[in-house]
Amino acid sequence: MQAERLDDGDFVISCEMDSTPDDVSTTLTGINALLREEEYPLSPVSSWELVVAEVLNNIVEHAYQDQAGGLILLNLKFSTHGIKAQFTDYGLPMPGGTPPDGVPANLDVERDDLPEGGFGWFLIHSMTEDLVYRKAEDGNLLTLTVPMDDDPPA
Amino acid sequence: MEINTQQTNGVDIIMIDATRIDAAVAIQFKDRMREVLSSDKPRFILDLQKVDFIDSSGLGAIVAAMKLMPKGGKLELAGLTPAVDKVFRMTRMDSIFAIHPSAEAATAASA
Repeated sequence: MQAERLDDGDFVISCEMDSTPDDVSTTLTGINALLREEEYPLSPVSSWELVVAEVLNNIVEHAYQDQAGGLILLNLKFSTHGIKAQFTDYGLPMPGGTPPDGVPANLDVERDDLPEGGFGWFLIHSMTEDLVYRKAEDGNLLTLTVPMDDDPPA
Repeated sequence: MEINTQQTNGVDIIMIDATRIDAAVAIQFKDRMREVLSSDKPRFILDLQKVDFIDSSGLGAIVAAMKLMPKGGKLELAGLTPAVDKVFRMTRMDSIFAIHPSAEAATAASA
């Protein structure tokens, strides 16, 4: 994991991980530790971690079909305007060449039919802008921005 | 994942002794909850005050745990930290669960 504080105050973190939920979790915990060390000012409900976790979980589950041994590259740039994230993987492309829309889950159902998944893309779209997916020659590239002002004061 | 139970004012409180409920621990969480909930009590309070991060897998695991309750039984939540509260609100799952500010408040409410 590499971190660099740029002259303009932006904080850039680059890392790579294996395609497992454990490695995703360890990576996010490591990034949190770096942000604390750097005393980078973030709202306690900043959405960056949730957005990044949901995208990484999707890469593990779908691009790499829950198989370990797949490389995931992550680049994060924390700035006053927001957090720019770039994800690269070398697994399967998004079906249809585009990320799912992510509709809100239907909760108007019997208890036993309540959804236990399918929240991921809805959360990602709700908390991001400028989401771009591109199938590159040998991999998948996803970029997005988590705006800084996505957490209005309660 | 550490999950501990205790009784306060006759209500069973399930304390999650972990800072994250994410994809890495979701299955483990469900398995532990299945053991805890198998005691067939009608009401449990899930105390999440130590959890500062939850993703959609963790949310799904809590929904799955709730479904393990017998019909009419209640799995209620308490002590949601800001980031956890946000996930419940965004997915509207806050409309499905009774949510208390703290486990103490939850047990007092039942007294």
